[in-house]
Amino acid sequence: MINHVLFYITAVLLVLTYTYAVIAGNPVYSALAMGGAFFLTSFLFVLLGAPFLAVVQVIIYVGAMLVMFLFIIMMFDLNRSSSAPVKYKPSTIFSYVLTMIILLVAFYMARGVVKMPEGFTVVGFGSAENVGFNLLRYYLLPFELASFILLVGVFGAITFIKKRDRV
Amino acid sequence: MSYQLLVVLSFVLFVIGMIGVAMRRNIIIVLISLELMLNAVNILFVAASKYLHTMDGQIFVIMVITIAAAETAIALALVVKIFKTVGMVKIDDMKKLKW
Repeated sequence: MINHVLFYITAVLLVLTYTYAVIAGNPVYSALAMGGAFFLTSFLFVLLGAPFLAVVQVIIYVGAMLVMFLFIIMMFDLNRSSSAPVKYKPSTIFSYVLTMIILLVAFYMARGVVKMPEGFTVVGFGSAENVGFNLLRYYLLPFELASFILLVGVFGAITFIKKRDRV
Repeated sequence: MSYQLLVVLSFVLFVIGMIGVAMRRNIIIVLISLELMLNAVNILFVAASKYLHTMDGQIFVIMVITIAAAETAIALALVVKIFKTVGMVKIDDMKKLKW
């Protein structure tokens, strides 16, 4: 029952964040809404019994892709003045407090003071062990091909960016 | 949390992303919408993986994430190159193939 309620809340929030990411006028807001949508998707993955994919989703999409998008957007919006003094709105203070709480919880969790909830360690369907077993046992060739595609991606990006030598 | 509901959710999200790709003129928002479309497909894969009781869908999601990462890197490199060449990031300005 609680799963159903969580699923409906997540679905509605997903549609809202998707819509905002598409209609937002500022690319920064669009990228941030995309990050929110990826977080919600990882939550949906947990509900659907794929905890390993949820972690991968957060690490790759939010950790790498969102930062890459924001990097490019910030590179382009240089004409906007960035030297305005920081105003301490309530939302700013709230975000600072939230960050401090998250850092404290992470710190005490790493020290072992705060224990993981019972039954959080994942075994069986969708666990890291299961995914890794399937990946290396039945899908070894696509796995290697994916790594090769990443290598090609690196070469492609460097080739686009680097200055051409004039001969 | 029925399977049909997840298919509908995934379809709705995919269509929203598709509208973004088709209607926005800012190339960065078009790329973001592309990522959102891939993400909607991932939701469908994981849902099918749960209801068919097989890991194939989740493995495929890992492949999709890998390809999406490589694609984003190349696409953003292209955006930087276009910005340096044309000076704008609007799609309508990209009419020439020559540089």
